[in-house]
Amino acid sequence: MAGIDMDAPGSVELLMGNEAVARGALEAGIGFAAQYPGTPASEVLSVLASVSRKMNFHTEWSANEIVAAEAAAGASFAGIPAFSAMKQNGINVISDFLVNLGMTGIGTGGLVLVVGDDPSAISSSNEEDSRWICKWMDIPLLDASTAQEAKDMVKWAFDVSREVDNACIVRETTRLAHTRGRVVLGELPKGQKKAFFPDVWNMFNPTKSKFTAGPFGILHHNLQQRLKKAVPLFEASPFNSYVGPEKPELLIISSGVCYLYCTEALELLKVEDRVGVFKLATSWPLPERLIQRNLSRSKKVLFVEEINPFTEGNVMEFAASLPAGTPHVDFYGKRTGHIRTWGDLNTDMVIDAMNQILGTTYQVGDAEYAKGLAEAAKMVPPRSINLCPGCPHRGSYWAIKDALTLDGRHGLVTGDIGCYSLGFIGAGFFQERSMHCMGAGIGVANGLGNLKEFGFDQPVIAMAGDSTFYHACIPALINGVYNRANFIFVIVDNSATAMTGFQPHPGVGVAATGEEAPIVDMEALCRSMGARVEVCDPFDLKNTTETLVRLMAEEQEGARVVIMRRVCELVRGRKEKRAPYKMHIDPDICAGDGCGCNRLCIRVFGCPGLMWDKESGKAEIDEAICTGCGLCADICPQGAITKEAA
Amino acid sequence: MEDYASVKLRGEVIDEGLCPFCGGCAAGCPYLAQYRGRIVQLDRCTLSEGNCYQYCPRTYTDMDALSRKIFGVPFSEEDMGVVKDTLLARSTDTAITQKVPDGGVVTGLLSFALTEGLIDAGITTGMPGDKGGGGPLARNVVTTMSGDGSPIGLLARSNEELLQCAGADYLTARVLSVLNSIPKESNEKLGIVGLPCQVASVRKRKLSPPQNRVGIDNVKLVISLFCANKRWLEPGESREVANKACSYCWDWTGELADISVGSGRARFKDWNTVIVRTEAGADIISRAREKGALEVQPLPEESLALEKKASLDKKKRAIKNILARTGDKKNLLYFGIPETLATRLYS
Repeated sequence: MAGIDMDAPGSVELLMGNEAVARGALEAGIGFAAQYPGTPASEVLSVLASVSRKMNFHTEWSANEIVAAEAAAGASFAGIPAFSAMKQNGINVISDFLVNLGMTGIGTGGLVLVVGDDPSAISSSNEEDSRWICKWMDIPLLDASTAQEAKDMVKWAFDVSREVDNACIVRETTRLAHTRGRVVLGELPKGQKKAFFPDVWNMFNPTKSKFTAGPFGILHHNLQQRLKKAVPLFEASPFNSYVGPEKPELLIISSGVCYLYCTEALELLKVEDRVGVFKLATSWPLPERLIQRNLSRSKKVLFVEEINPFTEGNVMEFAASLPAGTPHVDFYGKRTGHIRTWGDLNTDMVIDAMNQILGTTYQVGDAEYAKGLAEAAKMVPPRSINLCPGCPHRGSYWAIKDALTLDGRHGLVTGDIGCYSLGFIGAGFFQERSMHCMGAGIGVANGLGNLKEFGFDQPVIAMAGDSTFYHACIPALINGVYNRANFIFVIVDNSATAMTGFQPHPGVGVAATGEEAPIVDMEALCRSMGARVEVCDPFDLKNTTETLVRLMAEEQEGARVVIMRRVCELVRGRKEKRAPYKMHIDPDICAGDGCGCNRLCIRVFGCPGLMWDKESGKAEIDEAICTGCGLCADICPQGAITKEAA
Repeated sequence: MEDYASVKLRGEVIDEGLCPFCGGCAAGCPYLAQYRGRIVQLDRCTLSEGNCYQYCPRTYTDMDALSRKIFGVPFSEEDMGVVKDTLLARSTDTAITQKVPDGGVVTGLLSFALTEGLIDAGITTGMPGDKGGGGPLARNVVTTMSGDGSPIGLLARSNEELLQCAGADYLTARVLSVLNSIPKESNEKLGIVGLPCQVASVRKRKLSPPQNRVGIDNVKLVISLFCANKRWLEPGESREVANKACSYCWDWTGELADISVGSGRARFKDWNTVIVRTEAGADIISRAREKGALEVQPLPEESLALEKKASLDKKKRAIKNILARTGDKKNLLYFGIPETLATRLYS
């Protein structure tokens, strides 16, 4: 399409789920969008930022999710429609704010939060089901199943938000966020709103002019009453639908991408005349009358949803409250084991569940095809997940490994979230021993670093990326300095939020719009906290290793910072478009399998740019993959790998 | 347990506290590093036939086979091993003698051998800062790492370079790393100076020649220093600490060398006690005498007796300590001589 800001109502475009979300926000007339990158939702703000100057609204990559949500709420307080998107972890980060925001209301602007859930944790450390927060915090929830629905729901969510005077959450999942679908564009609103923070005490509607979370008793009750205003909207919402015979043998209740799996399964099984599908896209609060009407269609109900039995539980809870004499319904789903409670679903899984309930015998998958697939799989060499060729983290982890081993006191790495999370496998030489959420690496180090009284003398290296540092590590570093926790905090600074797609952050001098931005000086910041700071280049293995060894051997206690700085190879490559070195392996010098080498470069170092020629028993450079970073020349025991300035 | 050479080495030698820290295993191995009085394994090696195990002076060594290989004779029952000649000597080069506490024979002999073209390079020791470390070593990042206080190995191709090394303390230095840093296709004739354990490691290469390293036959001259006890600098401390593993060492003079050199003791403190063991050793000593590079005098009987006693005492002490550990007369750990011989000679 011409651009996400294309002003062509009725035009049909192919949009990725995240682009559709962004388009929905534009059609709702947002004035403010703030986000911290997180897969699967990362692209939303990138798309919005690409048109924000032109369309005259604010976009920012915020330092973290809670700042993004708070900033967006601030805009909404002043009457500006505001928006934030995040991955499922983000909902945890913003939860403290969100629970209080419900008390105060969001003003007149409207506030929509899009949460990208990641069933199967395809790009996450967990597969949390974020829907629960809506029930827990009285927030309306919409669950999108197609790109079209994502766009339309986001736009409508602003109306819902303003109606209930609270944030409205639209949930997408990875499969939707990253799939392209057909979208009919709507209108883009014209005209500019004036931002004004209401300064008059409005005794009839205090939440629209005064945003303080108290007195909580009244406000909590008020929040629950406001949520009820969503119910009539949801009862009438066209996002909820029923397709199937009037009285199906089996009623499926589903939403999100699972709804698509259900309709496809029906088609494959050819049971469209026996089974109906009720799409309950407005997941919370429940449109109870609509649900009751649909429940009455069948004596058997199957819930198809990913991860937790959220809708399943809510609907069964509601069903239990139906008056005596209501016909009995058999419920199938996660409780009965028909649908799994973890991982993402697919059409085959829905067919399996239906085969069990209906007695159908559709064979999932083609036996011949499966056989062919198994044969083909044998041809693929086994490969572990790895860091990119030229990745600075490979140098950082190599130095950390050597330093910890030389130190010899069983030192360990408490890891964090980013590309360097791969440190727990061979890509990082198995150095990372803990990895949880953003900021947890240095947080855990605060505990380990204060166990001297119990004889603990293992060196602790907490690790975080540059973006993670700004996001979640600063209070923990302050804590470490203040409480004299003994650890080394390694910031692997590759000058980008690399894992989510190289979004800028407060340390790189570029704003979301691509314009120049002030740099928040990481070193100066750490020093101002009272931490000693050293900076090294992770590709200078000798100096980096020595620095770590020296710091570990010091008697001096407390938090110390080592910034390992080298720009992400993917960022560098795009900018410079040429390799720094031309690498060469001399087969006469390469010792291969022999003693004194034992394939160190291939077997241990493991850069994907190196390959092994079985015939000659020598290492080779894979010209197609090698980025010419030069690091392998420094680890080759024989000096067989050489680099030549390209 | 995995049958990897490095795992066996750790299990049988390092973890058992038997490692004399000669550096024979770490030299040229990218997986092992000699660091602050420890042998550190940086990565997992999966070779079951590894030089680290083969060349360790504390893994099983068939002493008879080794003696036949070097000297062409069975294991010597003499107190000081195979001896061709004993003498007192000192260098005539004042540039050397003013730098050293004794007769300067080691530096003098290497210098003479270089000048005469008997060797192209001498491998000896120096302190960090004298000159750059061992060249393109395996794991160059670590093995040349400064700041651990121990001396480094140096490769000297000229008398000037040699002089910089003269007088370095007899601490365990990384001479074997330097040996292994020499390209395998090199034809340079080499002279090497080491402690008895290092000499043993060099000599074990004769039994199973290295494949990816310089040929062992390039080594034309092996000089051993007498060794009462080995020492290294503890990290962060300036005092020297004895290595307990050395109490299991049998070798006072370096009995596997071409030439063994010790001090002239208090009585001849400007001289060196010299033991000549091989043809190669005898040849260079006689040439050096002829050309006036060395000044010599006979070693008095009393002095010889002292060295013999010291040699025998060290063997007896080692055997006693080994037996106290194994509790089995048949198990002499690494020291591969028949039980009967050990009982007869050293108990």
